[in-house]
Amino acid sequence: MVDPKIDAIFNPKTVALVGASGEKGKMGYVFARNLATGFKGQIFMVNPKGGEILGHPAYKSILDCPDDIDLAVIVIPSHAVPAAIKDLVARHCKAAVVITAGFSEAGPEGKKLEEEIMVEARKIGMKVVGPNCFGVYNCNIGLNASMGIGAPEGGGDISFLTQSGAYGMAIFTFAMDHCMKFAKIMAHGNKAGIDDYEVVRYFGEDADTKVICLFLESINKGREFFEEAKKVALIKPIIATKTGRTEGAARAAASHTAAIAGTFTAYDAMFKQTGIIFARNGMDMVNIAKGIDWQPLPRGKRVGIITNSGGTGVELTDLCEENGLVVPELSKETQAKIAVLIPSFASPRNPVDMTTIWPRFEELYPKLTRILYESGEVDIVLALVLQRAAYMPEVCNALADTVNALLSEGKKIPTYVCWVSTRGAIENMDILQKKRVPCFDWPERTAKAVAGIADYADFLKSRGVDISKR
Amino acid sequence: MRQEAMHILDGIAVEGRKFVTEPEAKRVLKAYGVESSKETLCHTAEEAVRAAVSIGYPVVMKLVSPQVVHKTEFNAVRLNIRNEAEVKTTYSDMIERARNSRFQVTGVLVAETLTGTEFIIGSLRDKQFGPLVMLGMGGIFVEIYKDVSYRLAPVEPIEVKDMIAELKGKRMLEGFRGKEKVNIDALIQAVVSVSQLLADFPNIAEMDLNPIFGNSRGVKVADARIMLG
Repeated sequence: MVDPKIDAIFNPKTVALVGASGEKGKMGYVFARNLATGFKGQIFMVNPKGGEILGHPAYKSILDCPDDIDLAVIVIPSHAVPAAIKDLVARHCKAAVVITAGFSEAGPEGKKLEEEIMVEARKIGMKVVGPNCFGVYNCNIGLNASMGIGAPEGGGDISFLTQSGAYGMAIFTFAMDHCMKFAKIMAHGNKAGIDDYEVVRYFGEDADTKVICLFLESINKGREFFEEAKKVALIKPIIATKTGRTEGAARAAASHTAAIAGTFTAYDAMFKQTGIIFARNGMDMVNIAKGIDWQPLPRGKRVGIITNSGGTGVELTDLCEENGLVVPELSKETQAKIAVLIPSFASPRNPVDMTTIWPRFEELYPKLTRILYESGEVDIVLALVLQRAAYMPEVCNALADTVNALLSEGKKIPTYVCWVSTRGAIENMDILQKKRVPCFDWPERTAKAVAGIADYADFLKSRGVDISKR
Repeated sequence: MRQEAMHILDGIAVEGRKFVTEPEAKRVLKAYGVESSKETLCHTAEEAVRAAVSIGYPVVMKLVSPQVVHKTEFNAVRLNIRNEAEVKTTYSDMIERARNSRFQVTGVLVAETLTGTEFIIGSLRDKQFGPLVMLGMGGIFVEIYKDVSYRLAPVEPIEVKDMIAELKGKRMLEGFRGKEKVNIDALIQAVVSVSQLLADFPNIAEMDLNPIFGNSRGVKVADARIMLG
């Protein structure tokens, strides 16, 4: 069962917005609008002036709210936060998200304030997200308790814990531009009142969460995190970006969210031991999450590449092999099956290069994909959808439909697309991604993402985990 | 095993020492089932000769002193001592050098000469994650190429397999160019045991088992250094 205190953050019945405002341009307005937009539960706007905010009655004090408060969202100035927390404790509120900055990240005065709020909160075991954070989302119930410019649509199963507010914001971008769907998002800023491992445990137990992403500057309670992640990563993939790996970056991180970045040696060891997939940057993290969320795990590291460009096909081959994947030459039998389909000057060896015969792209991408699936010689299919192919919606549709047909036949071979084209073709990328065929930009990002996924599958197998259904 | 190691380490702490001498460190390791080279602590040249004969030439001789932390820098490790005359000159030279530096002398270790592939097992303490165990290829591999791998301690055997797979020098274990193969199970067990020691004793601030020799029969620690925190 999930921790009910943390569940109150993501699944509240009632939310109080402390510092709600009807005045455009104010933080209190952004939050009022975001909350009022999709959340179906009760919202208590709290503002000392009272009145009405976006159609909801505003209460002059937390103490005036007419019902129990599951979650409080606090956007008032830092010096006023301790008193608000005191009132929330009096109301037995379950959890608070403190958006306000100016706490431990800002110096000794702020650190004192942060300690004050935690002393109060601990009296009733109230969970505190933040302070100095972006907020939380539960996309599947329309809860947007964040300063985000929009809410990702529901129906997703990727959950995300981020220390950086900008990555909280970026979720909306990934949702919009990559057709990704998320479940729960938490940006916990200074993480004064919630530990990383607690959130990992919650996501591990949460039925809506299938894939876990972490964007962290540091990890607190390292040992507890290690023990928890070691269990969870066997059941659900955890993809982590850890910033502050270098001395210069660690300096910025320390002043940024008041966290002392550990040496990367220990993080690196911990990632390898737990099976957490380490992503060097946020884009790789999201790509890996998408690849795992939409496609089955690969059974091995053998890659079959389909391309319409010799040069890019070779580039992708190099990058795959440099990242620990294998691009084997296909057997004579399989090459023979391919050779009869493609022009005599094209290559059936792998990478399978159909060359620039545009009129036959719509026919060849699906047929070559099927041959690779059925060959038993590769564990992963990489389709390079390049330039002119990317401009052809019929190619994208045919490829996506073939992949889904093959998967429904029970073949656990993932297909990923290496996308190389102009922004004018983005709509066609959407065709693939809406049908859950992940597209990665250019060979470098593709190879990184696919290698990360294949390494994870390898780790699971080495630990005796049955991946036959994953 | 834990009791015995605790007994040794507590005794050192009571004396107010941080540096654990080599024979003490090896007793601690022995308590955890990690073997070291056959050796005898000697207090006279004659004792050293008898020890060398019983161990078999060539032998290694090492000065043991609580003040000598970096033995190599003090020239306190002599390899390939082949006969009685060499044992005697080495013994008196070591004692004299120690006296000139006003170092307290615990004795001189006479040890068997180990053969095989060199490794290093070490430790690291991290603020967030606690103890880590390190495994590396020894000799120039660790010094120049930093061919090492870390894991949070304690480790399981499968995690040590991963560590070995990470080492660039891993082919050395398989008997590279006619060299003797390394007993991998013994190496794995040594890393597992050392990692348990590190997890059991948070007061071990630093540890270096360097070198460790691995061959087809097993692994043995040639030199061990432990610092308490």
